[in-house]
Amino acid sequence: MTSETVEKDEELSINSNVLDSDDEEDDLFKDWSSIAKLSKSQAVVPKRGDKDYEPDGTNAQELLLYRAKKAMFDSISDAARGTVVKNQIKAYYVPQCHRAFIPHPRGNFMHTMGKVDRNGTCWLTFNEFVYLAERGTITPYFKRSDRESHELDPLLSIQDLYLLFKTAQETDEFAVFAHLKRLGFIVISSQLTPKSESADIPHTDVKKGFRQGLSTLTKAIFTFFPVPTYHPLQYHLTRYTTSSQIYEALKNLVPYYAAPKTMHDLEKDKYVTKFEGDDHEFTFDVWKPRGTFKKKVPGPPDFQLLVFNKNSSDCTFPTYAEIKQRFRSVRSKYEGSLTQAHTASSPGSKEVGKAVKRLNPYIEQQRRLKRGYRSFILAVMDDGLISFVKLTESDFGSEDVWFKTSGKTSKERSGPAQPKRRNAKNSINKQIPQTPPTSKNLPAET
Amino acid sequence: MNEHTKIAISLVKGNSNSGTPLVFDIDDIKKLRNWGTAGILTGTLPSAAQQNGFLSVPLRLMVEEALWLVDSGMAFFFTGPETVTAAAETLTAREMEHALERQEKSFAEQRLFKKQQHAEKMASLGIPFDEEKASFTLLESSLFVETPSVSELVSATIDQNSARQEELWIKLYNGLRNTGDYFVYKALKQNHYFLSPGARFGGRFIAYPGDPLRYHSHMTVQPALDYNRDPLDLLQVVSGGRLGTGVKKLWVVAGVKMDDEKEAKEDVSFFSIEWAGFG
Amino acid sequence: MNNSLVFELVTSNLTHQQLWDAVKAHKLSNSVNSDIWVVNGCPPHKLSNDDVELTNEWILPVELQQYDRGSLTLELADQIFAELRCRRIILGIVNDDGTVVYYFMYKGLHKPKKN
Repeated sequence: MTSETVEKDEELSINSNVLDSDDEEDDLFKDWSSIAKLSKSQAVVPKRGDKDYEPDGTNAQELLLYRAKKAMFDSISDAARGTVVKNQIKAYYVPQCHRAFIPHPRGNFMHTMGKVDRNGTCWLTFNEFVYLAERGTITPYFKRSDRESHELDPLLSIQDLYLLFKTAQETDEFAVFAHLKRLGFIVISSQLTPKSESADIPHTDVKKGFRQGLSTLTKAIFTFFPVPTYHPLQYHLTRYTTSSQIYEALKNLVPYYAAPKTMHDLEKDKYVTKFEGDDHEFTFDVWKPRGTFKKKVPGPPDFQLLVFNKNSSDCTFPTYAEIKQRFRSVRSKYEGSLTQAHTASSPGSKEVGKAVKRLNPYIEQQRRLKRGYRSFILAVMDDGLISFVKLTESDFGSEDVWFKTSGKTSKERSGPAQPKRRNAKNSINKQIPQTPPTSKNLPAET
Repeated sequence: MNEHTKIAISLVKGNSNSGTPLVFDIDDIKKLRNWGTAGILTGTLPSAAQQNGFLSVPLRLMVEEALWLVDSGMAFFFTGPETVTAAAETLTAREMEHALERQEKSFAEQRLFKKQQHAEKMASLGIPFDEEKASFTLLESSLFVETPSVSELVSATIDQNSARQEELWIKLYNGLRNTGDYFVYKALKQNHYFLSPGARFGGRFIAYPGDPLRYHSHMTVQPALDYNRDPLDLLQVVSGGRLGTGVKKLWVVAGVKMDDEKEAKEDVSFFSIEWAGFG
Repeated sequence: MNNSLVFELVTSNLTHQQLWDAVKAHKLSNSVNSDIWVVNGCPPHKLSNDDVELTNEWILPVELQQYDRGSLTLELADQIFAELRCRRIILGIVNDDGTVVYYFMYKGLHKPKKN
């Protein structure tokens, strides 16, 4: 459905695809008539029905609504949850450790979930336990503390499982976990991800790490926040012959944050979580579905994700300082732009191959600005509806966006150190970039 | 189910300020819908477990919604996890055996049904049915073990004690990021709107004139403003108004008299904003 | 609230850019501790398909400042509606570059246009 807006205002025309109301809305509240006709065993791909403007009191409308509701409730009631005896896998919840175990584990889910101990018992996190029970893969029981045998342990219902969640935050995290699992992603709590394979990070004892942290910090202050030095005379002593020279000179007065953009700088800036329960830990590590995944050696995740409830007073939107700290703790695969100079030292990076083909530097710059540097995902919970928002570190300060760089002078800038540009006499480029949320509090340099 | 019984809202709260209100009984969900409360289905649909467009119980309610339902006497809160652990730990051996017997009874019914179906099928094909020959193991392994949605364990321990209900209500209300939103919700319900969470369209609520299954939404309602103090954020009026025009919804602001008594707070002032079509 | 610095800009914008007729500014009387001006005028054509006929409109000029949310509270909006006795006013939002954007503001809950 296209909107009837006649206005070709720029905001509207840009966003008309993104904002098309009815598509998104109907994903949630659709007419379920079509689905109930399908037999239980078939996979459900619901077709949405048309909607009206408002109730008009006619019987025809009433009938349509009745049918839509019936179809919806029929499909919920008809979908029996559980399994046949042959495939039944029993899992037992242990309240003392808020986990569940499977005495005789089997099944595909074990590739990506659970942890098998020495006795061959598979231990599930509570999220995994509820998720598997909800889809009927396992049958949930309660492990009575007073008995050895499992025979008489009481069967749990889905309601019991949810009531066993300890906090509201935990239910939000489960909702995000289940949402991603249903889409096929591999999801592991960031606290529990095996991190041993990150051997490229120099392991230091805590004390040394602390000292090192301090020195990087002080260094970071000087490198990333170049203090502008201003003396009125400096502008009298120089003769400016091009507009870009003027911009260059003015730019030196504006402090800005330069994102680390070489492998070397990235490693140096990385914050390694040192103890369990560290506040800087993300909620989930997420991998795209792949057959070769190994629970014990998962490799760096494709995404790291933080769950945030926007309506609860338990959560606050991360502050600028918190977001910056998060960027430092990111362990997921680096998806941002890399500066060529240092990429040679990281043969694992895909960027190396791409960087060989040099594009128009202006286009490359646009790409760098759009793609940004380190990133993570914020899963915003709104009473049951989840929005995934990607936060990316961006760096407008290191880019000269006011003129087009010509091919030969496009030496990448990795910091505030300025290569001098002589032949950049192109006219001022009018593209004023939209500042992304992460750099909102930074002074604008254009 | 009796029309007059209150709906049980399972509230996951623990020590959090906020809580997650959930409903598990399909009959309760139907009742809520007929009362104008749709909620969001959030559980995996077992028959199509690999998608998110189309989910099953539990139904998640907005906190404002749960507060309103309890306040108007239509529902009551029920909390865990102690209720579940206590009930599970105190079941007697007799009760646990009884549960197994019920499972056996279900199996017996399934066996009978399956045998009957098999016999009918054979008869229709003209093959004489031989009880002895029928594969016993195949039949046994195809019996279905259901994981129920609604708890049998805790149903006995439900406590509708009004002091406890009120205590939960106040805690949950105070856990709201913006308590004014509760009064906005209530005022919109009095105007018979269906409401759903509104972050996707840049608001606190989305308001529908009827059941969202059949009707388009009319409004994006902003988080409550303090009627006397909060100025209208014009930058938000511009961006929200444009977005609203793009998705055919009015952008609605609501003022709550935050300093006043409860009764005065319920007198919410609404203003509907949309782009004027020029300028 | 004080919009005495921007109402003239809105008046001339309506007259010369939007081509409205009979555009006139009035000072509101019952505004305490404030200097509120409203503009009345007649648009060149119906503003909404839902309008029955072409009528005079009330415009409230307001200034948009990036770092200041201004001082138009909903209480004040109610007072303005009470004095003007109309079903809607039009917010004339003045940007710092001199451009003006216009938004309908209805008292109470209002339905969107059909199609």
